[in-house]
Amino acid sequence: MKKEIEIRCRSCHQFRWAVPSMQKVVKCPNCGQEWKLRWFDEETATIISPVSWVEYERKHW
Amino acid sequence: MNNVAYVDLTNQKVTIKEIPQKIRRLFLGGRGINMYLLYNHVKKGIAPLSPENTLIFGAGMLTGMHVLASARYNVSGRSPHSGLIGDSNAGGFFGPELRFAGFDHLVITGKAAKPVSLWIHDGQIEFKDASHLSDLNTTETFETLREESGDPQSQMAIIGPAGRRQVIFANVMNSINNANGHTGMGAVMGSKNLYAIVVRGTQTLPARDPAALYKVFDKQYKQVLSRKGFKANAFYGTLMRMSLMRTQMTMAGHNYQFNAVDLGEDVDIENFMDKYEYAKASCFNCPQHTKHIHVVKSGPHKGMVGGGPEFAAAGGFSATCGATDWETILECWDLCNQYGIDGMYAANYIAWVMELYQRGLIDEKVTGGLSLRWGDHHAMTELIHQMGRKEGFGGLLDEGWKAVNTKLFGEAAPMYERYVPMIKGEPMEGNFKGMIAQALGAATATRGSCHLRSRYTLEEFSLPSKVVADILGREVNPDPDAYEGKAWPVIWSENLCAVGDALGICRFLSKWMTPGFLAFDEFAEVVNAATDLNLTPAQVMECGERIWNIERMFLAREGLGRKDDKLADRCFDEPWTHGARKGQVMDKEKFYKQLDEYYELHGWDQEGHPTKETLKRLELDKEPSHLL
Ligand SMILES: [Zn+2]
Repeated sequence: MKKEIEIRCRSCHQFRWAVPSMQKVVKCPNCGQEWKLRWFDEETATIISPVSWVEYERKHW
Repeated sequence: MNNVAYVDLTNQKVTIKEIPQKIRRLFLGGRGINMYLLYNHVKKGIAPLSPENTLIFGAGMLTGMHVLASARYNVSGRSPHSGLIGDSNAGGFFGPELRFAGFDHLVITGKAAKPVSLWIHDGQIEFKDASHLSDLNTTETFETLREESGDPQSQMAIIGPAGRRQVIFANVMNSINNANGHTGMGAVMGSKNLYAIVVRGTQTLPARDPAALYKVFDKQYKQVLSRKGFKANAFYGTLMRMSLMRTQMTMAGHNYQFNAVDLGEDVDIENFMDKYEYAKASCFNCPQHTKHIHVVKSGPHKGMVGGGPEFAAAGGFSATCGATDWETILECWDLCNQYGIDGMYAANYIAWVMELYQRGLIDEKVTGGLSLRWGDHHAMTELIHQMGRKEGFGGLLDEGWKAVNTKLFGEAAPMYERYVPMIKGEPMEGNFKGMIAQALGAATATRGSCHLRSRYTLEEFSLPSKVVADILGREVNPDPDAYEGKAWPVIWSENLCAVGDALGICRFLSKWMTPGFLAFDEFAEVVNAATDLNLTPAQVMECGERIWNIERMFLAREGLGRKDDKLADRCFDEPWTHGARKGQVMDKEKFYKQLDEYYELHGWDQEGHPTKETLKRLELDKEPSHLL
């Protein structure tokens, strides 16, 4: 079974949820924002950017 | 060992003194002893670009030793930009080599009659003619000096065209991607006709207990490498903030008018990594190697190889000035490095005049034909060329915001100061309106607005209260919008930054960067293995407090106090323009009320001056003591 790693949504800030290891695009179950992830190894990931900056910024404009 | 060289450029004379043990115990080294020297040598009111100013180089107490990220040194003096504390910390390899060559600090006074360079080798200091460097950019200067030295291991601190022309935000640079930026120490060096310092040494830096030092290094190395923050920093470096601040909508958009601007998709950091980065670089003894090396692949600078960029300027050229493509950012960045200009200052100045242009307050008649539209590649690069050459409208900006504002608007100048977001004369560095502790840190930072002096970075991490209390040793108000209980994190951060700079350990491996990194416990461990000072973590922290207080004494002597601990007006009267906080402003009254708590915790009076009791407790009551 694939490992799950916890990450924190950049949009809802405090909200953490588990995502499958090495998955490159994830969707926050709390706010629905889609994020691109960078995996440094199988257990370490960070959010890099929204799938689309233009859409992200339009949403918050 | 632990020597200070007093270099009189006017008479080409050198005097050497050993640092008294008492001064090491109180101030450690690096920025700590530099600030002691600054307070003792730089008299009230002297002109920053006159021979009376003192230019001080200081390597950290542990710089060059078997200590994690022990690369750092400071350059200090009176700042020609703010008129106040000039001080800037840099990494690279110059600091360690200065110590290998026999000196911890250089105290440089007077002015050479002709351009000179200092050549320092194993305890010897030689003056050499430097006229042949007069027309070279920074890369050419490094290449020329390295060739002359005949030794690829030699290190150098130089100025470029901007420093030689005394541009008041010129850097001292020790490689194309390592600069003492901020506060214009390059201009002070230029004013002394000192174009370069070349160092090479073979002396050892003995440790009190080498075996213990190895053990501590190993432990701290593992501690740092195990953290997620390490992995992210090692990959993206400071550019991580390009993404972080953009998603959190805390960018300084179009000269702080907006907390977000439409930057499109190109300036995504993955794009930089894919298209421009071809290598990483590190400083002495650093496993984190956050520095990028890039190649510009098209445009007029096709083929140009540069170090960086770092976020401070990349965020500045993008969000603050409006550039929406990496090639503009990289070209601006590289030009700044070639002239030896601080990129963040350049971005702030460009953004300022772009806003004046946007508002119709200046036009092409004033700018010499330049259309200063947001993000305009030609306008931005041309202004940097003009700054570096001291020509045209960009050259006018070299006189500093206050003089330029007066020149542009005459008696009405104070009305237009709101478009120059400065604190104690130094440019603001980020839209920290939503970060109360960070904003308090910027308002009170001793060299003017500064993210490197006291930024409580952990405020951005949403850490559980217990974790914060464990790290900071006290409870911190967990409410991000509260204006009470935010003074301690600022003071804790001041101490952390001051100690790191005094030891010569890079901030990027401390808890300034990420929660799992080093702080006072680890600093004490390493101090006690490396030296005979035998300090507890609390005593190490107190050294930081002492350094902060002597800086505050310098400011008090210049007449500064509570009235100067303030943010730019736009932080209070212009609301957030985008995102979850849209429409909100910071509460001015509550914000300034925090100063009471901040001063009280510091042991300062209501004017923000250290009390007699505080000075006595910190053994600062006899300053200036002239022990060095
Ligand atoms: Zn979310």
